[in-house]
Amino acid sequence: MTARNVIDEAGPRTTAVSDPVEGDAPILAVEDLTVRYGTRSGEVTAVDAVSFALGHGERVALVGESGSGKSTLGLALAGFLTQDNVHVECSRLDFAGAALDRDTRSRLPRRTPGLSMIFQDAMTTLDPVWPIGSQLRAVIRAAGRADGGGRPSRADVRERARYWLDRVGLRDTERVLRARPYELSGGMRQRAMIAIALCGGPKLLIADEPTSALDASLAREAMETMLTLTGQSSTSVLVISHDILLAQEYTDRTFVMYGGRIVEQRTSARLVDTATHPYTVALLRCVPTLASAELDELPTLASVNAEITGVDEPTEVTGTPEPAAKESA
Amino acid sequence: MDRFGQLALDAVSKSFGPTHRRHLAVDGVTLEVTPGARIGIVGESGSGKSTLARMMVGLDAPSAGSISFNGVSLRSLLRLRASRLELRREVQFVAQDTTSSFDPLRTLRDSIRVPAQRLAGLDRRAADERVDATAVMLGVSPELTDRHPGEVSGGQRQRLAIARALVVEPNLLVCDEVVSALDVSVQGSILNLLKRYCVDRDAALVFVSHGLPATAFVSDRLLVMRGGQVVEHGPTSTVLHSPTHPYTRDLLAAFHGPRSDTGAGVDAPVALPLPRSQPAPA
Amino acid sequence: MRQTLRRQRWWLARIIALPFQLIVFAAVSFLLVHNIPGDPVAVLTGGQADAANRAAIEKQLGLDGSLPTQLMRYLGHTLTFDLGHSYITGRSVASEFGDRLPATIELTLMGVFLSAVLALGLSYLAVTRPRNPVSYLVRGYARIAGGLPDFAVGVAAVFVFYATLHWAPAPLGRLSSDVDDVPKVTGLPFLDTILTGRFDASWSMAGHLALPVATLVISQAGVLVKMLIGGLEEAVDAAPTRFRIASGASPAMVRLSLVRRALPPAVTTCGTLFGYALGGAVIVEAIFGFAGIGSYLSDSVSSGDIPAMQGFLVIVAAVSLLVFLLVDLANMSLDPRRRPGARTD
Repeated sequence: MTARNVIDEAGPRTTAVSDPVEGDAPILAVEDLTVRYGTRSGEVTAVDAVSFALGHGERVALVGESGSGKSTLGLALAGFLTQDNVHVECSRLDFAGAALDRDTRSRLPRRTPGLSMIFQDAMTTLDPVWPIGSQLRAVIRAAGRADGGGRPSRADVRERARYWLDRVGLRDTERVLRARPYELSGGMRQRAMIAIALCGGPKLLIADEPTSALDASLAREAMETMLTLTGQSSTSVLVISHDILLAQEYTDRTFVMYGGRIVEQRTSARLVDTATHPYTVALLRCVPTLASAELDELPTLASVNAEITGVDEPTEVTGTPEPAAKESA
Repeated sequence: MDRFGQLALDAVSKSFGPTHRRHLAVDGVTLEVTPGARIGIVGESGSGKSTLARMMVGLDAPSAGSISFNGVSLRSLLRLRASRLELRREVQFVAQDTTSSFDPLRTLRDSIRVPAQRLAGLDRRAADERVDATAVMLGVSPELTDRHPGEVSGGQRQRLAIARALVVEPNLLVCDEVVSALDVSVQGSILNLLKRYCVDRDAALVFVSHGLPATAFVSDRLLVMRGGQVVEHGPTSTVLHSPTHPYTRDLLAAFHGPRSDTGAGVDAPVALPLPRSQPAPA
Repeated sequence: MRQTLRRQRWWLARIIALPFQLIVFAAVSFLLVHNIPGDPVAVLTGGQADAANRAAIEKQLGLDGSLPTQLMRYLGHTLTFDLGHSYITGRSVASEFGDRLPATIELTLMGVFLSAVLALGLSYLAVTRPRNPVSYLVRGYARIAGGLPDFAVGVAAVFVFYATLHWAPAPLGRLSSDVDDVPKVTGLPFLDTILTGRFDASWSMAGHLALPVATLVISQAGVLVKMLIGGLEEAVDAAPTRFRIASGASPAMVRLSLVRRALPPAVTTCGTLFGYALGGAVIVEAIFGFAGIGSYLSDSVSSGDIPAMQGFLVIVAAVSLLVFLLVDLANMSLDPRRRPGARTD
C-alpha cells in the first residue's frame, strides 16, 4: 500500500493539499520515498513509501512520535543517510525543479545546494571548536562564491556576519562573533544556529526538532525568529517535531507520521477540526494543556481510541508504538 | 523510624563553583511536604528546581539552611546505615535520565528487585511477585523486566524506573522531569498512574518539571521557581487562574492550548528586531 | 595587557610548570636509583678499598654526606645541565647523551611524524570511501594494530629487502661506507646533511633510513589508524558535521571541521606512541647498526653506572614532559573546551 492510499483513506483532502501554490511547480516533490535499515535481526522499514510536495514559501509541520520515521525522513531528504546499512529509494525526488542526484560512493554527505537544515540542540549542533563568527563567515563566503560573484572581500563577509546576527536579534554582536557555542546561553545559541542556517540563502529549510531542547518560552521565540526570517525570503520550511500543537500553530500544513507513513495531511489551522485518522485525533487529545489540571484522569491513546470506536480494547493503533528503528542514525 | 510525617526545608540554599565564581543554584527556599500533599515545582532550565529535588532526598547537601525529616535532620539520618535505609524506604527518587540510572549489565528485574529486598525486607520470591505486580500496574509486561536496560524503549525504561521507586511503597515520591523526554501518548498514562498512586495511598509527591500542564495535572500545590528562588507558591488552581508574579504570567502564556482561530499564527506580526542596516542580498 | 595575559594563560601556565615538574621527577628518580642495591665504590675498586680510600672515592662520586644533602646537590647540578660523570668511562653523562640521543630522537620523530600523516590520510580514505579496495586493506591493517612487533618487522624487512631482493643497502649504519662522514651541526644526522649541503650524504642516508623508518611506521601506525577511523566515523554522522554541510560551508571547511573534531584523541595517542617509538628506535638501531643510545644504556645498567642511569631517566622524563606538553597544547588549540577555565555547561 502506498502512502497515497493511506492518505486517501484518511479522508478527503483539502484543496490546499492537492495544490499548495496554484500554477507553480513545488520546491520539493517526493514520491514513494522508502528508507530501510539493515539490523542484525533483519531489515527495518523506517520510512515507508512516503509521497508529498512542498510549495514555494510554504511551511509544513511533520509531526509524529519517536519511531514514526519523521527524523529519518528529514535526514533522507537532506542526503545524510550515507551509512552502509541504510537504503534509500524513491521513484521521484525533485528539488527546485531538478531531480536530486546523489553521490552514493562517498560516506561524507555532499551538500544539496539550496537546502539547509537545523537540528534539535544548538549546543551539540554548532561546531564546538570554532567561534560563532568563523562558522557564520564560512557559510557566507561559500554562498558568495556560489553566486558567481567571486570571492567576497573580508570586510564584506564580516559586515554580512554582523548583519545576520542582528537579524536574529543578537545584539551583543562583537562578543557573539568571538564566542564559542558553549560560551553563550541556550537562547543565544539557538539564534546563532538559525543565523548560520539561513545566511547562505536556502530555498528550503528543514528544521529537525528545532525547539525540543528549549524551554517553552524560548521555543516560541525560536520558532518566531525562524519563521519570520524564512518568511521574508520566501524560504519553504519543513518543521519536524513531536510537539503537534506548537508545530501546527506556526505552519500552513501539518503532516502526521505514524509507523513510517504519512497518515494525515491537513491545513494546520483546521487540523483540530478536520483530523480523521484515529492516531491524529488521539494524539491531539493526549497533549496535556493547562485545562488538563481540571481533569481527574488524562486521556491516553487507549482511552481516546476506546471512546472513538466504542470498544474498550486496544486496537492496532493504540498499542504503544515501539521505535521501529533508530530515530537518527 | 516512623512513617513519613513531614519533610521540612528551612531557608535551603545551594551554591556551586569556585569561590570567585560562585553560582547560587537554590536561594533560600522554605517548604513543607506533608502526607498526601502533591507539590509541583515548575521553572525553566537553570531555575534550581532539580537541585532542590536532589537535596530533598539527600543526593545533594545544602550549602546553607536545613532539611529535616519528621523533625530529624536529613544529614544525621543519612549518616547511619540503619536510618539511611529507613529513609530510603519512606522517600524514593526518580530521575530524568533512565539510561544511566539502571545498571546496563544487569537485567531490569535484578535492578528493581534490590530495593524490594533490601528496603521493603521481602524475600526473593515475594520481591519477584512485587516486581511483577508493580510492572503490571505501570502498564509494562513483566516479561520485559528480564531484559537489559538497552533492550527496552525509553518509555518502558521510564515506567520501570518509576516501578523501582514504587516497589518499596514509599510515602514520599520525588520525581525529576520523569515524563519530559517521553512522547505525549505515553506521558498521560504515567501521569495518571503517579496521581492515582498518591491519592490511593495518601502518599506525598514532589513533581519537578518544566512542563507546566503535566505538573499542574498531578499537583494540588504549585511552586514556580526562577533563578533559585520561589517566585510563586499556592494551590494549583489559584496559580493557574490568578497568578501574582509577572514571571508566572509569562510562563502561563507560553503554554496555551491548540489554536482555535484560522491561520492567524502564521501572519501575525512578531516581535522581531528589524535589521539596522539595509538588507544585504540574500 | 592583563586581558591578553588572561586569555593566553592556558598555555603560559603549562610552560611555566614544566621545569618544576622536571625537578620533582629528578628528585624521585634520584631516590629510586639511590635505593637500587649495590655498592658503586666496591664495583669501581673491585672490593679492595680501605676506609680512607673509600671516603675519597665517595666524595669524588658525590656519595658523601646525608641523603638530603646528596639530593640537593644532585638537583643543583641537574638544573645547570650537569648530569655528573660516568663511573666507567669518566666522561660527562650530558655529553655522552648529547652525542647519541639526537640521532635516536630524529629516527623516532621521523617514525611518529610519518605514522601520523599516513594514518590520517589512510583513515580519512577508509571512512569517506568505504567501498574503495584500499579502504578494505586499511581496515584490515587497523584490525591487527599493535600486533606487529617492531623487532619482527625490522628483521623481516632486512631479510626481504636486503638479503633477498637487494633493494636496500646493508644494515650497517646510516651512511654507506663510500660516503664521507658529515660534520656535526645540530646532532640530528639527517638534518645535518642538509644544513651542511652534503646532499650526497642525504641521499645515502635516506636509503639507509627507509627500512628502519618503515619498520617503525608499520609497527606503530595501526593503533593510530584504528583510533582515527573510529573518531572520523563518529564525526561524519555528528550533528556539527551535518550542520556544516547543510548550512552551506565549503567542502574544504567541512573536512577541516570534521578532522579537527576527530583529532584530539589521536594526538594524545601520538604522544604515547612517541614513548613506544623511542623504545622501538633503540631496537631498530640495533637491527640496522645505527649509532644511538641503545648500547650505551644497556652497558650502564649492567655495570651499575648510577650517573648514567640517572641521567637517562632525567633526560627521558624531560623529553616525555616536553612531548606531553606539546600534546596538551595541540589538543587545547584544537579544542578550546580543553583549556583550563573554559566554561562548559
